[in-house]
Amino acid sequence: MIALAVVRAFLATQPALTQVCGQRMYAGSNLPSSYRPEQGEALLFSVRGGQLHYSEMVKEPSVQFVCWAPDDVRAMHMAEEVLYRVLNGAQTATIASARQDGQPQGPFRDPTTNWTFALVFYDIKLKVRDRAASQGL
Amino acid sequence: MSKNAFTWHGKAIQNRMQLAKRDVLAELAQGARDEAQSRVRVDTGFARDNTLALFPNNGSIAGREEKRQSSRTGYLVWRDSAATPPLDANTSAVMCAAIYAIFIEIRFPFLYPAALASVQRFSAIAGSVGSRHNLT
Repeated sequence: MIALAVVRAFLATQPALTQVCGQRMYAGSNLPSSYRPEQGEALLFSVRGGQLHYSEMVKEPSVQFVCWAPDDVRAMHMAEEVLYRVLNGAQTATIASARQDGQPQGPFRDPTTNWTFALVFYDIKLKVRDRAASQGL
Repeated sequence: MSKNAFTWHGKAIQNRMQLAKRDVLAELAQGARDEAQSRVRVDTGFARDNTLALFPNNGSIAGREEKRQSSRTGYLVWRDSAATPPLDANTSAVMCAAIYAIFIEIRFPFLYPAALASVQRFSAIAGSVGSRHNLT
């Protein structure tokens, strides 16, 4: 199971988020070259580290979300409000839990493009496999 | 009638524990700094050289400006660092004082994984510091 694929699949089904950034949700460390802030908000996310729970049933990645937007307020709104509402406390068949790590940071300006972004991190626990299935029950 | 006496070593043990706590915090920060320095992407080396372990009761270190040569472009470029925060007796930290560190971190994380790796060594560090201070 790839952590970013799970997160991407979950976020893509969240209307509160898709209303803001449409399908501009990208797993990785770089935005696609076609993106411009005038198109609206975009979400870029990647795993910055983490660990495997000792039970080996749960992956615990720390996921970094970079919220790009046409201006500072929209960037912070996405990091502070939208993502929090959608992701904090989320539970699905594959996501055991998701919790915001610290406060959103920003707004920042990219030194090359001068585009605005805000940062927020989440500790996400992903179910690697079902315990009963792994024990052959 | 029996006679009992005991010697109270509480204060001495408390002192040793304070010293051990300081050493554990310092070793955690040093470990994280070494790990971060080995992970950081290098162009001028300024970010690597300004990845610092901050120890308990450390005062602030002033920011500065330096001219460095970019290994990517070959040009001499100015690089700035920010002041480090002063720390209390219960805190140690690893930080990169280069003002552009956040832009490295979000593309090529080096501080977070280093801090996490250091925390995972906590038990081993606490054990070795404890025996050094005769606390185990």
